[in-house]
Amino acid sequence: MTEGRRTSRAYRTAVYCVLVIGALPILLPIYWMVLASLKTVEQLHVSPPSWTPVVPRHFVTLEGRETQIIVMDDGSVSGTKVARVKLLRRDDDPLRLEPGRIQTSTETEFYAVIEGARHRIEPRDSGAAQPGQKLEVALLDRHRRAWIDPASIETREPRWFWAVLGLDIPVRIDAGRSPETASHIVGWAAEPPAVAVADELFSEDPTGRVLWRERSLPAEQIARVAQGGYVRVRLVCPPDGLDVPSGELWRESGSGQSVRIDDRSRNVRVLRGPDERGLVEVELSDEYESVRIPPERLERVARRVHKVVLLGVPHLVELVLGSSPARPGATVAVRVPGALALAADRIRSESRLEPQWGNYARAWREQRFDLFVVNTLFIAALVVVGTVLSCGLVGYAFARLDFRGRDGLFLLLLATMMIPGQVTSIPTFVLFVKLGWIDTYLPLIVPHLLAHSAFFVFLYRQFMSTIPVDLEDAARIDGCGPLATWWLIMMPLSRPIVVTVAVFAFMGVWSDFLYPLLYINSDEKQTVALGLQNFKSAFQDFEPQLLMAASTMMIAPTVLLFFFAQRAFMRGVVVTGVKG
Amino acid sequence: MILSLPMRKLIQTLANSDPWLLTLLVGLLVVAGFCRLFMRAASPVPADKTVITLCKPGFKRDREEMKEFRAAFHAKHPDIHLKVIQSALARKPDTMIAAGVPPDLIFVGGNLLDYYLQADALLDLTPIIARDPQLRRDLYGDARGAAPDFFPQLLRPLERDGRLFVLPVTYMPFFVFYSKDLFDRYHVPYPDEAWDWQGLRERALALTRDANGRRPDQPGYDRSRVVSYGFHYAKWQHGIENFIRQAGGRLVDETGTRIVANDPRTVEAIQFLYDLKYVDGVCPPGVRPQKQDYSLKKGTLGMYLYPVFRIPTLRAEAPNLDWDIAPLPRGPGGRRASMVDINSWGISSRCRNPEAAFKLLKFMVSAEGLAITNRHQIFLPTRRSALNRARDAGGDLPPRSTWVLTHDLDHGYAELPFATKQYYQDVYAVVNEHFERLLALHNPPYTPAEMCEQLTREANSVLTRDRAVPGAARFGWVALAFALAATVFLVARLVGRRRGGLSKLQRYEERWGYALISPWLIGFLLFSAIPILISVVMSFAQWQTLSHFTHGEFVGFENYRVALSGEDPKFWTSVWVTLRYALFAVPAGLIVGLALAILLNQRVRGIALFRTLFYVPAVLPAVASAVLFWHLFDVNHGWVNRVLGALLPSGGLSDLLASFGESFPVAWLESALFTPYVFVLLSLWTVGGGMIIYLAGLQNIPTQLYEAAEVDGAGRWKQFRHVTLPMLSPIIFFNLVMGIIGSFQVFNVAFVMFDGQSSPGDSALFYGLHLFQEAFYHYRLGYASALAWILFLVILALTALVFKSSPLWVHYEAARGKKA
Repeated sequence: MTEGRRTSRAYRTAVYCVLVIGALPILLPIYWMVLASLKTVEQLHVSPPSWTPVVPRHFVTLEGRETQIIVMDDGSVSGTKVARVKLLRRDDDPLRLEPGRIQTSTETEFYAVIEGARHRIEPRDSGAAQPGQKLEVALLDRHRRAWIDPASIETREPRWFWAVLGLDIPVRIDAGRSPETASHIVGWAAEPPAVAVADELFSEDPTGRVLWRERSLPAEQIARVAQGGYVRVRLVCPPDGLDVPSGELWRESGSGQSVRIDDRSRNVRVLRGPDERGLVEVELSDEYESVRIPPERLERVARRVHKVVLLGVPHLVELVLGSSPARPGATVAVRVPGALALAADRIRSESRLEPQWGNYARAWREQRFDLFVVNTLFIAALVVVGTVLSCGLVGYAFARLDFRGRDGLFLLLLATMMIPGQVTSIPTFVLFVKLGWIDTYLPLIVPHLLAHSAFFVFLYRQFMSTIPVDLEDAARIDGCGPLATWWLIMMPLSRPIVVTVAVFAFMGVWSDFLYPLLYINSDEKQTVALGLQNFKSAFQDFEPQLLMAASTMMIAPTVLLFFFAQRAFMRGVVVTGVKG
Repeated sequence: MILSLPMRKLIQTLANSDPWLLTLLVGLLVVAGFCRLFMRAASPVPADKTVITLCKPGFKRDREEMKEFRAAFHAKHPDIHLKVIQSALARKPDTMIAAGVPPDLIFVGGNLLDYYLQADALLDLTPIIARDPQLRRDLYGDARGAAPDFFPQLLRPLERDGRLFVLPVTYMPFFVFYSKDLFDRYHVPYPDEAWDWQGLRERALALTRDANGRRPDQPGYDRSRVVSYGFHYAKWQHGIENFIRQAGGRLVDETGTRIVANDPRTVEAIQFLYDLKYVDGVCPPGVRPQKQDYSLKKGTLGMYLYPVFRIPTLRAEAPNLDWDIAPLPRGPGGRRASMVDINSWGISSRCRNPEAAFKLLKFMVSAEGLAITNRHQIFLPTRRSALNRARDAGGDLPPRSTWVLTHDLDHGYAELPFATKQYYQDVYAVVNEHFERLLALHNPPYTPAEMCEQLTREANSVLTRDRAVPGAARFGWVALAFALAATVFLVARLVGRRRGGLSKLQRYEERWGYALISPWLIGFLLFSAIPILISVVMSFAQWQTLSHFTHGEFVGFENYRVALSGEDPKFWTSVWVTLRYALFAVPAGLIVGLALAILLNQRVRGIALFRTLFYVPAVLPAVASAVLFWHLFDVNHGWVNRVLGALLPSGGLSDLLASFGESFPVAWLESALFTPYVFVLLSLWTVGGGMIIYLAGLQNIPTQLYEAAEVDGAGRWKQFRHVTLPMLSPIIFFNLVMGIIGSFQVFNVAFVMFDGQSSPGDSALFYGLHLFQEAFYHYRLGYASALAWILFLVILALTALVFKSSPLWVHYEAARGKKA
């Protein structure tokens, strides 16, 4: 237990075991923080968590070849034994499917030429139509019904929908409830298209026409809007379309409907169009891909519904053709809800260490951390110099010089350590306001130049009391005054305390939160602790790995400093700790 | 050149001095110098420009908005430099106003106009507007009948006796955001213009599904495995007040002086929301933004009643989601109501350059300024022209139903949220707390009707609380004079104890002694003694909110009475929170600290490394450790939940959680039940500070005692029991007292963990945090001073206990052979 007592090997082993076990919970949070700062967002959400910044790789065998996937949830949380996965493209070994296995579904728009004009129609109950028999259809752009020959129906894939005055005509495709019959279900949304126009534009003639962009358009009044002086009308698109500037058009950009299988949306993204062998490379995923389409590419985006057979199960999927990652610079908008579900035991996993060092660079850039660090260093440097010197001076005076009231004043100094900071914070705040020191570093620095910390004074005083008086006397004989004695004899001999005080003072400034919060207003004057708090407030919903990178950067200097100065530091802490 | 003697002496002294110390100090000064240069370069101070300050706290998008806004304003007015202050402290502008350095432009949120007017903080804009015919026309229209460009409904509530102190810039309407995808998936009709509460409930029921696709009203519905929820709404007062007004109820009567939350129609609205959550089960369980498990974005939420600022978030985060907005549903009886919160800006009454500030204000409401604001789409502009432009600028981005944007203003059912004439923020806090307890947290402690009764009672007691005693003496320089006199007296008493003849040498030494302690003496007087004495005086005075420091009034022991009599319920809450924390943290810290110290006192190789290791958490900045624990206990990616998730199927953990009314994943920091223990764990983690003191004590126990004990045949346990423990008892006691004192001063971690806002059920309202909030959020400086002094008295009492144990100390000191 103490020196001189011999310990057995078994005893030492037991001590080491306990030490290591005890060290784990101490180090674990720090390790977890550093680890989180090196992960990707996806990795943060993987359960069970990985203990290294690995990017695990999981594979399933699809189409006879092994394909990489991302496991979103391996079923251990939900207890389903079914894993939800996201398929990943791998450059050297992409998943390739024959076009024949990707089946284009029959979701289409139908058109019929009636009275010389082409109209979009909705066939009703197409299954009942016999050859030669006429079919009842709804004329979608005339809002009435007609009988037409099924043979005269032409089909076209939907490309976009009209929007007038920023209001889209809510046409939507009611697709794929069951793949076999879905081919003919094309319908209006519940609400008819409607626009609001000013009252004076609406002429009361029986056909109901609205002058809009110098054209008289058929319209039907739906409601009179009381306050605004507007009426709501149902506007009918003329056969040749409305002459609407493209800015007022809303185009369906492939982001609209999804296809459902088993009440779940499935999507696929084509990574590379059909190659010379006619194979298409696809990606299935669970994530919401937020890739934007540049406007000039909009026309190229066509929407089809495809079917893909995976794991022997046919899946209906949505893909976006056109611009693709194969073409540099082009981006695609893809929504990928739903995921593949696989039996968890079919997944083969391996891991590779891939720490995301980039998180640090990003965290550094998100806030002006360089400036915060410099600000804090500036304060810290002055505070450390001020504290080391002023506290040393005062401590020396209390330790060695004899003057009236010394013991009383020293008691007073000790008493100030007992008073909680909250008592003085409000009047001090008012005082600094009166001095005009708000939004400057003066409130953070000046008190420390004036030996603000009774604790450090006490530390110096205790240490200097133990230095032999002989040295001092020798210096006096050599003609040194008290100041020179202090500087030439006492301070060099108090090096451990100087180190302790310097380290404590630096850490105090580096971690100080309340006082900068109160006294610093300007953004460019903030300190690291404030910056970190801002970071937390501003980013709490997302990207925790950046926050963790920022906090790691914040604790790094204190930990490093502690390791370098630990001998002196420990000694200082021990001396002070006992005395409080 | 001949150097004078002192100069030569100085140089000689420096030349002889310790190179190590000199290097350290000079090196630090050089570092400071370089830092200064860098700071100058990074933020050059504009010369010959008028500086206008504006304070706008906020999130990342607010920062981006202000960046753009600033650039545009500088381009237009090159002679004015706009300084934007963005702080983590939500009430920073108030702090600045109270500090007498208000920002030139003050943001006045919806209901805070009277609050700022009471403090006389705002400049009357009426004369300036009168000189500006264009702005007048935009605000009020003109005599020829041209319609005003500002929505009259948003301007009228801001007028006070026909005068205007602020200009409305943006407003915040509520909409129902809904995911068309989810509606389509379950073939539910979209919300339309005429839908009502019943329609809301039906749709929400149809959208809520479990993993088997069953609805809550179908048999076999599995509540523990919900895939999507139907309806979620903003849980703070504005969001809920929508429903209250739709039911025809109110929170505050028309005069703004009495709470009427027990109105049956108000209760009906609350009951409706209560039933949606607890009976129908169509609202997701998450309570705070942290818990994002159910969202439109992820396709796990159907409808979300939320302010307009969800639009940019959804556009950015879910570019491929098909979503739209709908007007709020009609209440019973077809009543329509929708809250709009007006964000307005005023000029500080202490602004040095009102002209320049007004230019900035005008720029804010100009087409250009509003366009920038709108580009970030946080709120909607208050001018019709700007709003139309903003709507058109949205282009092909959702929402498609842009007519909804102005629906409430066009149809005249936009209403301002409640406001009280006085103590608005206190009432607001009470209202929100009850709403949160009933509708956001788990297991509400009361029924809606009971909640409304309790809310009415508590909020009314806040309103009728008369703080300042009229006619009392003014506070002022008297206090300062008193403080100075008392300090000088005290110092003189301490100094002037010894009298009698002194030798020359003694006098010389005495002069040097005073000279050398003078830095501390000055610092002590300025930063300790005077503030302490002022604080005593302040604790007997009260201030009207935000008013000038010298305008306080003496109220005797009123502040102490309010605290101790329970009139401020948060006082006893905070005491309880602190005591409960101390009750767990202090004993646990004592035991763990002692155990660790004994462990680290073993003589084995490499023990120094372990000592360092165990001490590391104690040197981490409190902010960083709070952030770290916040991350560890995060509901989604925290280590605790992740590990629990890995263990859960194997053990009875889920049963254990269920017995606490919790389910997995646990929102530790959103639960009033668990939050205190997170703080206890945090304190245990940083136990190194106490441990090192034990270690010092252990090392000072003379070895002979152990040897003697061994000779007497004592085993390890007996040695511990009869030698170690008695010898350490003073240190244990010391650590105990210091632990209690320390727990009364917990502030940083509590502040950082919850961003200085309220914690769930005030479970982390530590005494220090309460004091801070009273002082710098509510500006009850007198009351906060009283709180500080109560704290001081408690600490004093505890410290007296330490001194009572002095026999033990004396024994210890003697053993160490050193004089204190």
